[in-house]
Amino acid sequence: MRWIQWIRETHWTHWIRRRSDDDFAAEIESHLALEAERLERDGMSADDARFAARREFGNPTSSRERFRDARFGTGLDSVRQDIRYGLRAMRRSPGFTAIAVGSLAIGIGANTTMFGAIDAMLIRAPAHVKDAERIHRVYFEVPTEAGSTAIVSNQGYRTYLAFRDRVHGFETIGAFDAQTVSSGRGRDARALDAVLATPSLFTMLGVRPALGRFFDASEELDEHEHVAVLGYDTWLSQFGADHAVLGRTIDVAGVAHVIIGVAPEGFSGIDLDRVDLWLPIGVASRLVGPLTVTPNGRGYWLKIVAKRRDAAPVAQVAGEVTAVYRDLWRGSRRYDETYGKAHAILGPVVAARGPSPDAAARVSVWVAAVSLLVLLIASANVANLLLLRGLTRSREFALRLSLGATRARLVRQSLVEGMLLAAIGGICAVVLARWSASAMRTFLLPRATSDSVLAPRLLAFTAVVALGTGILASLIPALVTARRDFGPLLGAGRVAGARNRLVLQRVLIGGQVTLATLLLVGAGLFVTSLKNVRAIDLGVDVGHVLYVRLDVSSAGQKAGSPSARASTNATYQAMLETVRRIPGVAKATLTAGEPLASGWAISLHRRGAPPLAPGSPVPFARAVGSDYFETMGTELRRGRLFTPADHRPDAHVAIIDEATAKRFWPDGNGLDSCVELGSDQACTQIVGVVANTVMWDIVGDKGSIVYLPFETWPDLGISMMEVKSSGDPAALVVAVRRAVSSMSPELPWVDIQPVSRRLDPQLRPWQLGASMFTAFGALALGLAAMGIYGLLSYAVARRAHEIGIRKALGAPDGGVVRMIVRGALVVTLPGVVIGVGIALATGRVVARQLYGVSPHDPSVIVLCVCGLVAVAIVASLAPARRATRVDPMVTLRAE
Amino acid sequence: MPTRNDRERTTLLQGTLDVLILRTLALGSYHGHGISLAIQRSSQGALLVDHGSLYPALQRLEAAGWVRAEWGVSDNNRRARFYELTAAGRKQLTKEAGEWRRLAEAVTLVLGPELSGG
Repeated sequence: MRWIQWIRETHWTHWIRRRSDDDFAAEIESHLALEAERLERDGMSADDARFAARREFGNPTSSRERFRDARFGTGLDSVRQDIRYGLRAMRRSPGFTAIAVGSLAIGIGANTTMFGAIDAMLIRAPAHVKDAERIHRVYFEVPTEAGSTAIVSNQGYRTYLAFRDRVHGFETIGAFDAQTVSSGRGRDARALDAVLATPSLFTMLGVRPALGRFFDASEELDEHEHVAVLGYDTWLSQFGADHAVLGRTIDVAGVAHVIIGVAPEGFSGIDLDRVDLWLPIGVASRLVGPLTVTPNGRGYWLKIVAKRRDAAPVAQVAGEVTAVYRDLWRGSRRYDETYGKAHAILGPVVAARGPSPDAAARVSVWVAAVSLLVLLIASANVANLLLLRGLTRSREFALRLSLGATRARLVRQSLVEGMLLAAIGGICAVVLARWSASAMRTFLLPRATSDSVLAPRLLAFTAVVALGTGILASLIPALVTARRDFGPLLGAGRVAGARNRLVLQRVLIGGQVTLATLLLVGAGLFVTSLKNVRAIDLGVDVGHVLYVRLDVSSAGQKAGSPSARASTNATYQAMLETVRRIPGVAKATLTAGEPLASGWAISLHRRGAPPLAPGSPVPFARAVGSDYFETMGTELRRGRLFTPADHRPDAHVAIIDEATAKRFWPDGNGLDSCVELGSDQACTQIVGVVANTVMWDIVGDKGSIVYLPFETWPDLGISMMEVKSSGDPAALVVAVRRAVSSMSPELPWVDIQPVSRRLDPQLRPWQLGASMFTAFGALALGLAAMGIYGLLSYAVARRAHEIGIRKALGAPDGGVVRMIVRGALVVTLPGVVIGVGIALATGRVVARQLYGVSPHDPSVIVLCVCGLVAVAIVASLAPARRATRVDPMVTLRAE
Repeated sequence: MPTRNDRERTTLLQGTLDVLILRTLALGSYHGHGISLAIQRSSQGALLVDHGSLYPALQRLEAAGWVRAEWGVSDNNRRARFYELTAAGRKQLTKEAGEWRRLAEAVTLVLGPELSGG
């Protein structure tokens, strides 16, 4: 019996003292029986009386409305009514609901996704780090010769020792360095991402091991005890989470290390990259270089992190660090002018908030801003849909008002409906984000341990965003409801209100178009930048070359000793012979150091030329094997390449690039019979000039490189083989690995990767910018098109009468279509104009993120304007066609 | 049954029904049907209680502790739920009745003597 049901439902106190439904039904039954009896006494037949009694009881639906509205303001229960009402309204118009929920899910999902990345990179302290506000990364701002300043973050072991002993403002100080190490031999060989750390790092961060212990101070230098702490993931994947793992050993570059502990899950120090293995800093003498951890430690390879004393202010400690640092450099003839004037910066533990954030962090802030714009557009879209639906529901509202509902009640109803949409949108967003957040993290933080989308922080963020969006989207429609005059609608069969010009709706759509314009211009600029970056001539054949690297440090002997070098070189030579025989290998060569990322500074003095001004930059030397230029695809410009005869220890030949030729020879020719290289007083002949190639930074300055046969530098070890494939290099990776690992079961891990993968990280900011702006721009465009379509459809429905009269008076179809399309352009064009205006005004902000394109690039802007206008016209075609189908006869008859 | 034309009935103002029920129950215990008949009778047919409002109102009053209910047997041997006023309900009746009288007086004052020719 439905009416029993509804009385139960409207019973606002059933949560205080609940009566059973049966009891209530019994009461109503008894009422009906009493009434029927009375009617029978008045002379009705028994059946008639029963029927009349039931009829007399009243129409449930109409009484319910009155009853409920009369009780407005009784709190929780009526909100529940609103929710039920809202859900029913949503079910009644599934199309509207789908579009609104979809828009919100996209908008909220985009923000959830970005928040996940931003939170990890910029907001949250790394996992397991306690007292993060007192822990600082130590940087130095160093004046450069060019007059600007550079941020230096790498320091030597010597600096670490000096700070440890002399800076009183530090409670603890630690140092660390990430290294990829080889573990195991032959087929079991693998690469592990290790971090070399001082024992103090762990006590400073306040991290507790999952098992065993971290290093203690006596193990810092690792002279005799070779110990290691496993990363949690390594423990799981390679030791099956075995609790008896302590005391077992793990091979690190040919030396067995005793496992003394397991780091807790998710711990990666103060950086975000996953750590497979923790090693004491002392192993650097084997893995990095022989003299790296001595009191006068060579090399600048450590990152320093320190914990400030509670009472010491940051500025004071920074001053202390500056003084110690300058003192270290005092007396250095070469660096007194630069490092002697450096300033210490105590940066936050979150690297991306420090003075040198990486590209991914910079770009992701942009993308987060973009995702906020998308959310705004989605909110505007939903607000618009709610407004339009509010108009079509005018009669319902008017009726409810007349039945006693208050305006406040209707406003609340609107807000609740907006919230419901946002809540459902938020749930869909979490589902979306499960997928998109992991994609985003592989893009932004490819090597970090991943978080769950269901992390409480992320869910809380999503809930807050959904709530805010709900309010944002439903506030305007709710206020409009509050202020509307429903009086004239009562009794009118048709929705009247021709005076309503839909101003708000037009403004909202204009706003959406403005934001869409901004995003599309952004997309255009980033896509152009990416295209430009990709088109840079790197001077090498990036698409076809593989890098093959043997882990030298695992040769089992001290790196740098002549015998170790000789054996490594022999291994490389053997590998070269093997690889050259693999089908699909076009060319192969050996080098000392990675071609596009290494070299040592060397002075070049042309006979007869005045010496260079002291301090001016010198070229880099690179030692290469035979076939180097053919393998790398670097083109010869003048002269000749090295011949087999040049690859001898006593050869005095060199090849330079065009940049060097231009700098040292007035005519830029560069072919010369006699230059002095470095400390070598003898003549070296420049036999050839080759094209400039990329050095470290693909968008940075090219070259100035002097190529030398590596045979002429016997104290350099070979550290890499380059292989040019005749086809797809990725397919060759497997073949090369198989050939190399079958050479010897004693061979350690061999790292093989296409050159493109080494360069891809540099492309990532543009890739990210281009794909994000394009995706979000397309979403924004779609949302705006939906808005325009909705508005015009409504307008056509409302103006059917007017259109009919126009047609009856002889207006041609073309005229009607023009009228509707004009309507679309009237809302679109101002939005586009404002959007372009904002894009031009704010262009300077993005200029730094672009490459080879002005933020005011006219072709990008014209393309965007044309695209938006075209989309607006397309969106208006369906409503326009509907307008042409209005039958004038129907209209006139209705009159 | 002799019912009046709908238009002549007076729609109950919000909150009116509660006070009418309390007043009716002040005279003794009634079941729902009896309450509606009593109100109709004592208003000389001017007030007709909508049953869709009556039972929710009874629930509300019961929850507020102004009435209590018990199953009993009616005059003609039918099981029915009988309502009676509690002490709190009696106090509430005094209060609400006073308010209603004051309001009625005030409205009568404003309306003044009946206008002729309306």
